[in-house]
Amino acid sequence: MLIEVRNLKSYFFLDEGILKAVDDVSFVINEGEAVALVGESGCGKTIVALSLLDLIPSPGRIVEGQILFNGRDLRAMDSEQMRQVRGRHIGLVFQEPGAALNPVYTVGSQIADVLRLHRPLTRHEAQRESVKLLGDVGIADPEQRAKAYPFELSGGMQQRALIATAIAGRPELLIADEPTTALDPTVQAEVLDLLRHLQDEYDMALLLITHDIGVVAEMADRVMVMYTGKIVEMAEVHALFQDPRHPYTQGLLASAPRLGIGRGEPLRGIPGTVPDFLELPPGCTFHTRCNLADEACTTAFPPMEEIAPGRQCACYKVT
Amino acid sequence: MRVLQGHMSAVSGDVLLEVRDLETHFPFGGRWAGTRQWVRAVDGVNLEVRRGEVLGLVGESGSGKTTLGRSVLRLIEPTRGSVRFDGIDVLGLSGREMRRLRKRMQVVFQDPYKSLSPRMQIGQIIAEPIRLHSVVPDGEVEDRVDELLGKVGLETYFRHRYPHEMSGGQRQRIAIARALALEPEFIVADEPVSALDVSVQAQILNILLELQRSEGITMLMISHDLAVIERVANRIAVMYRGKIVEVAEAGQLIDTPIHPYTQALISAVPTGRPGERKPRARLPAESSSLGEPAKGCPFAPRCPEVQGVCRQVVPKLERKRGGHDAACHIR
Repeated sequence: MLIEVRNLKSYFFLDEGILKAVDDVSFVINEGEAVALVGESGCGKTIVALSLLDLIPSPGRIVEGQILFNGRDLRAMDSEQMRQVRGRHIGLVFQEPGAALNPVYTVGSQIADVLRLHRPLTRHEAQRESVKLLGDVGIADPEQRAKAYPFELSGGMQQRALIATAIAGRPELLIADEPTTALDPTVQAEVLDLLRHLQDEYDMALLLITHDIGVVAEMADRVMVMYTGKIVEMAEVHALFQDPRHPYTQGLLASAPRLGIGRGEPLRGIPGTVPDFLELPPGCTFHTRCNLADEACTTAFPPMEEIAPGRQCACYKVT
Repeated sequence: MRVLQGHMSAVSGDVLLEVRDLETHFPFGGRWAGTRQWVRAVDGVNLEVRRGEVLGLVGESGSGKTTLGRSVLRLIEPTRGSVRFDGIDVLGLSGREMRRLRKRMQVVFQDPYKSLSPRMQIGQIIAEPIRLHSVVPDGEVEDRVDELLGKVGLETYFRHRYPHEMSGGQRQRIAIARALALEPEFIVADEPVSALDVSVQAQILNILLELQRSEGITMLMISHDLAVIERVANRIAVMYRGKIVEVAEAGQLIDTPIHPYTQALISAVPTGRPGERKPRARLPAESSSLGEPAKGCPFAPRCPEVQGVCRQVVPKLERKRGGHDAACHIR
């Protein structure tokens, strides 16, 4: 067990009320494993990632729960210890590489900075190592590219450079938040190949946050499905795609068109829209869109229960 | 075997929109003579949209697909070439004549929030074009608005809402209702679902498909998402750097692509089946700058099968095997 999250609650305290972006979420990620956290925009999946790194922006904060990394409680750490965890143990890659890289420093020097933060290297050694890293992430002519500023690189190359900074500290866990959403399909495919390659090469666990069902199928060993701040289903990837159990998961898989699958069949969406976080329906928050819902579903949010070995689901109608 | 799509029967086969050698260039760079360069966003496009069909137009960012969609409606003025709509020479029309033709050709944009006036109630937004073009007598406008709301699956009380009170999916429904207000024969839908959540996308795509089926509306649907296009289009056109590189019946294009770029694009889309990975065509990165003059095939610098002729002569879009039209020297 590399990381264990127990009953995590991250809330935002707004004038309009308390927004429960992450509301009682528990999960485990094992060494070297690729776990996808999937959900639609605004379901709280990014806040889960930011919670692990203690990077939730104000007025949000973790209000409850434990985050154990290699058995150490991250929430008990001071800010200096937490700085060591970021980059050295947990790396982070965002959707917008252009926004995550510093525009006024060369790509090579940004990677070198990260390296020197975590390892006792001279400036020269760090520079040399950063060129090697740029090569590792598949950037052609890394020596020249290390001297380039972010704006001189294409979107795909920026994302590769950002990945290089994220893995520079040799983290055991890489969190990638929609790493390919802003990229064109051919570039997306290359970046996914790279992430998988690095995961093997560096023996890293991967927490992949995405809304893209196709990316989940391609990358994940296990999948966690999130809706309105809660994880509603958790399963091994084949099991989930073959036999989705939670009505939301079923709807999500049926909504996403996949190339070459279901031609000529009408697309099935989910009726209604994702509810506003500040006006969540009582009980199971999905009941307003669910065709199985009855009285019982309006009383309390169903607990996550084991429905098969390694498989959990939060639904009164699934046993 | 491919299942014949239900809406195929609506396609009559005659051409509603015919685009010939269309070019749309934008200036960039310095304002002084000699320093100004031109981006050929649309660079010699030939394309036909058949009456009653959904033609999907796919391409990566910067391929010129949005510019092409706007050029055929003259929301952007093309540089040269011709566009014929139902036999009418669109580019030769005066402003007044063009405004009249716009009744028949409508557009739905990607971001419904930006395309709906924030100060108008939904009812006013939909009623405006009806009144402006006197589609129905004044006394019947309200009824017409309610009818349109029904067509896009919204209750009539939405008439009194403002755009900001609605979700993205609801706003896109409004944008579609407004486009329908003038009873157009042709709609350009530019990334109509890419700003929406997956669970809502299907609702909007189904509304558009229903319009094609029940009202016979012809559609040019532009998207970067091949999986979305496959589900809704009768035929698919693939655009690369301002040119159409391949056009074919939807299933044909996905199953047996001919152009090396189409093949690369399809191999890049995740299979959607866990544990299954397609062998991928690896493409060298795009390097050339925007303003570089077109010499030879636009895909030649990245093509794994490039030959000498490809760098010299621009390939024409021609009929190949399986009813595909493709622009490639070596296929």
